[in-house]
Amino acid sequence: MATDGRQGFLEQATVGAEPIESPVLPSETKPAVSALTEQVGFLRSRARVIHDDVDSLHRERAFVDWNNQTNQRARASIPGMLNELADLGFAWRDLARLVGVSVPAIQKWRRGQGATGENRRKVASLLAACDMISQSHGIQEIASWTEMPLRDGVSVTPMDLWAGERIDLVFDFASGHVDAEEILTAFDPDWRERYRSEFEVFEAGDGQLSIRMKGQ
Amino acid sequence: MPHDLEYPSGAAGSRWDGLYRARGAEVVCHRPIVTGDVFSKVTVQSIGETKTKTVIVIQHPCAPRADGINLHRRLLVAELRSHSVIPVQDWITGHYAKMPLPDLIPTVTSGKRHQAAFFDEPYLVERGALELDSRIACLSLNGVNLLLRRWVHHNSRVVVPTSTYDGQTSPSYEEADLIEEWCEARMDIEVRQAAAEAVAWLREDGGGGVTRQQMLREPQSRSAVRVQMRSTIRTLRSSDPG
Repeated sequence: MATDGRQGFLEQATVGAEPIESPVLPSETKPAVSALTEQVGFLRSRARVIHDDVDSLHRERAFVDWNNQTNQRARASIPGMLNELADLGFAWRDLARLVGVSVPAIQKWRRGQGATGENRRKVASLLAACDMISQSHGIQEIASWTEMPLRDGVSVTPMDLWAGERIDLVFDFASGHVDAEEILTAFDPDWRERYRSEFEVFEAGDGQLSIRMKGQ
Repeated sequence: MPHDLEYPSGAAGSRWDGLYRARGAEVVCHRPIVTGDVFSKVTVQSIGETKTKTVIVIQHPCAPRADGINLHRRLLVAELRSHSVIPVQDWITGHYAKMPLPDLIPTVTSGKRHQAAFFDEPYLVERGALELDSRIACLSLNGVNLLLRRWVHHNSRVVVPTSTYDGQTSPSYEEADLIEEWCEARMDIEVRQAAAEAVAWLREDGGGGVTRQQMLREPQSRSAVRVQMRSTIRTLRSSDPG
């Protein structure tokens, strides 16, 4: 471990917003391998900072595009937008959850009863997100994708991320740039424990679904 | 955590809303009767007498119908009574013999606004006693899962996570949603006839030798069934001479 002021250098350099300090050149008494390690460590830190910056930029750009597409989508009527979402295969109860209203509210809007501007924008934003995820990330059958668990054995889906107001994580998951476990941790640090179950659903002898302890 | 009883998630101000699919005037008569439906003024069978109660259906979602359409002759329900709001932390540590139903009647400000189902006050009801126009609330899927979790724990002291219940209850709940949607679109015929039509359609092959009803068991197939159903409804509407 260096004791000439370089201690903690790597830790400092990994912070995205912090300037990266240049490595201090090795003294003549230091072995060359140590200097090389230091240089590579510096490059690694720099790459990490660039990676974080590009991540942030990518997210910002996605949100700008999403906002623009939402404005375009919001030109349509609410019943028209809801019908388009229905034709993608969404359940009304899921649309209600994603927009943050009750199922009866969605049913009223379908029949042409007015919604607030804020809610109209929420419906448009959902449709715009579906457009972006399908077109930019090649996701097929978008409604079914939103019902897919992020990871085996964990029931959290992209729909849960959206309903939990973590749309950034929905885009991250769709892009494939971020690991599912990383997304789950960002969404709920206790996910491993919270979604653990000793039980499983199985088809019983009468053809109905039942619940039993795992491993039986 | 998985071995604790759970409480509804969400922000404090709107937490209870997530328990319900519909309340009061929001409840529609063309939704099939399912677990978690609340009825008022129901004649229940007690020992040697009948009583009139507000009740919640606690029969398991798979169990109310033998043939998919007609309710069993008798159904299991639990009595509802007014109850003060039970704070979420107390859902975990106590009140094990109850399913709290806060804000069940949000239009009133009296004590009747908040209710609870009492599992130690179960009754049987004749199917004819559950009049659709006396249904005052329907639970959400999450509400049904929480109800089953507490009801099963009350009877067996076994705690099964709601996420596991969801895998078992969501196909039936999805089916009820689709039947409701079908009946809403077929307002030109009687509800009972429309429901039978919907069930018959769900029992048809949805592709690959699997019925649509079976497809609903797999969350990844559900959106395909919804798309097929909406397309069928459009076709029925366009071919309707009226």
